[in-house]
Amino acid sequence: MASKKPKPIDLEQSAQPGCGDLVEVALFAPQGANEQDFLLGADVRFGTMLVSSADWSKSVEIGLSRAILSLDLSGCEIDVSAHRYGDKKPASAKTRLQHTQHTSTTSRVGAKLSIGATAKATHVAARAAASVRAGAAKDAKVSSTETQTTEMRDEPVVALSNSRWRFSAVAEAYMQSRYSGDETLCKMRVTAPKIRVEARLTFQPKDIAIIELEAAPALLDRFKKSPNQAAIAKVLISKHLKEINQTAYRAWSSSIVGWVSTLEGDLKDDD
Amino acid sequence: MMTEALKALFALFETEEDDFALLVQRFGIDPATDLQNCDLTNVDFGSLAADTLNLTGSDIEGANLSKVRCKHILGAAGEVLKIPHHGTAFDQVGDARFLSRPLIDAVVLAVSRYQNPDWTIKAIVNSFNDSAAPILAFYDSSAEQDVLTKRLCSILNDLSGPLYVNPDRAKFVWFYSKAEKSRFELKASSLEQNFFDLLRSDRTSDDIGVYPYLSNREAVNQIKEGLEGSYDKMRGAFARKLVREMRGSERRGVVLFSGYPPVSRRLYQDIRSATNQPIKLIFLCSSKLEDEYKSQPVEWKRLVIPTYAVGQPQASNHDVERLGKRVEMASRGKISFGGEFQAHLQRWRGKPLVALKQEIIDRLRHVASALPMYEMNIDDVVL
Repeated sequence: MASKKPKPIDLEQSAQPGCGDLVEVALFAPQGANEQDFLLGADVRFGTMLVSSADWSKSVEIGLSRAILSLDLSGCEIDVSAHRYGDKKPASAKTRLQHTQHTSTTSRVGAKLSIGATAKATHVAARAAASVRAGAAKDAKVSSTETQTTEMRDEPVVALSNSRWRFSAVAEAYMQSRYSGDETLCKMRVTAPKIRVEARLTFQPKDIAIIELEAAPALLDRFKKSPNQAAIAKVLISKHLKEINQTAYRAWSSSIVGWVSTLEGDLKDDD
Repeated sequence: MMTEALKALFALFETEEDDFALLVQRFGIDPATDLQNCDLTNVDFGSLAADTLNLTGSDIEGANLSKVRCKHILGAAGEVLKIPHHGTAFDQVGDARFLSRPLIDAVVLAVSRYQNPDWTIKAIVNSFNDSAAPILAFYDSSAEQDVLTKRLCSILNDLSGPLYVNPDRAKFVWFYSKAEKSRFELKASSLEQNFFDLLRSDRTSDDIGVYPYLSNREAVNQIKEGLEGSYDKMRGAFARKLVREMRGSERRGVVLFSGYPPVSRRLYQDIRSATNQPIKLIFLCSSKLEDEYKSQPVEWKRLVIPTYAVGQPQASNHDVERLGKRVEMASRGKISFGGEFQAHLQRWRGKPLVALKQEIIDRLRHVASALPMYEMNIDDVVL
């Protein structure tokens, strides 16, 4: 006897943009939903925002270095036994062998040093991966040695407890483009006929990165040298973002709600 | 959209002013709320003066807080104690080296405002066994309100079950507000006006990390909806809707009002007469109301609900340690408890907390009386 097919649930997505230039979230169920369970996906994109003075003489471009996506669930719960996007093993450090070539004739070698360091050491483990490329002439004596280096890997998306995910800028000072959506976020178990999943992407004032500032050079010099002015500028930017916020969470404590996406639906009757 | 904050931002780019305290004042930044979770790395706070400086969640590495004049500094305990005061050259620390009377006053205030949330929570929970009578507890600061609210919610919410109501558990709904009502009159009409006006207008987010959140918000919105017309009408409507949300549990209902003023006796009677189900009301109120509660006890009991506040907290093992940390923080690391004084304070264990605080305050005042004139050049004081 064939097993009974689970009844489908039609889910509908709605959005409340808070800071649309900076973030965008769209929840979706890639394989649809039924009365038992469904897979939950979240398209998460980041961008930059440009604000200008009234006379257009000064402008500031901002982005985000970090944000948190949190789910509020009603009528369903995360299947704790299933994998979540951004699940990360505690020990992520990995060791690799690196072959480095040394030349004995320094005068004929054109060496190029490139260093890639993370933009913000407070959020992610400081990483310095240095590579030396030897552009030695063909007749140079070359010896080969083996060195062992440890590379710390920083994950742009990390699954956290309490139905949250942290998005971080890893290689740049700020996040840009798509960070999530190719893989499902998590598997949900349905517990009631009416389902509601609300995803809020929030960030803190300290997560705001000033990318570019356009103003008279003298003003810029002064601003760059003043940690006090830089701090005040970020406080004012976060106040601005709160003032323009159109989400229901405008009066949110100190976090700024960038976007709210809601997925909801009811179990269909047989007839 | 050109907001006030944006205008201020571009005005900032044109100013040569670099004094943080002046910039904060000029651009309308509130140190009690606007500096949380901010990047304040290497900021020199200068002589910032405020009642509360809340740096919760902020990055303050390299920041200089040595000259701030604030009664309460929140969220910077670890960092504040790093302020140089030991073995630093005199010319490097300036005013931070002076132990002044205003500083002593700030420490005395910090001690007098200390409360023990553990004791308060225990007293509220124990009151469940005694009766279904409404109960009142006072908090002293915004941070303390949140701690008490979260702890009570985690106790009263059954986190192990699904979101729908289990008939075996008490139905629990909580209201939360950060608003502060400055006007408080011992009149039924004023009590109702205060309560309903706040209930209708407050847009404070109640998402302070309590789970489940959505189901509670729906219940609260259901209760708030339709509160229109005269306050008499609102009283009846509120009682009916509250009772409706409490249904579904075979056990009693519990309603927590955090940050809301106490209610009138007649509103409570309306709630009681709308159901046979016992409903326990818990109020967490600002200690600003405590004076009213103490000064007119007869009038309060005649008009206001809850009639009873949790009793006088008793000093526990941790209070001496916590008060010691509080003294160090409020004095910016300049005043600490000596071993002998700590041993002496252990005698107050199990006795009223207020007596323990008074003993510390007396000792601080004794130190203050020894200060010559206005200030003295001193590294630190061990009580």
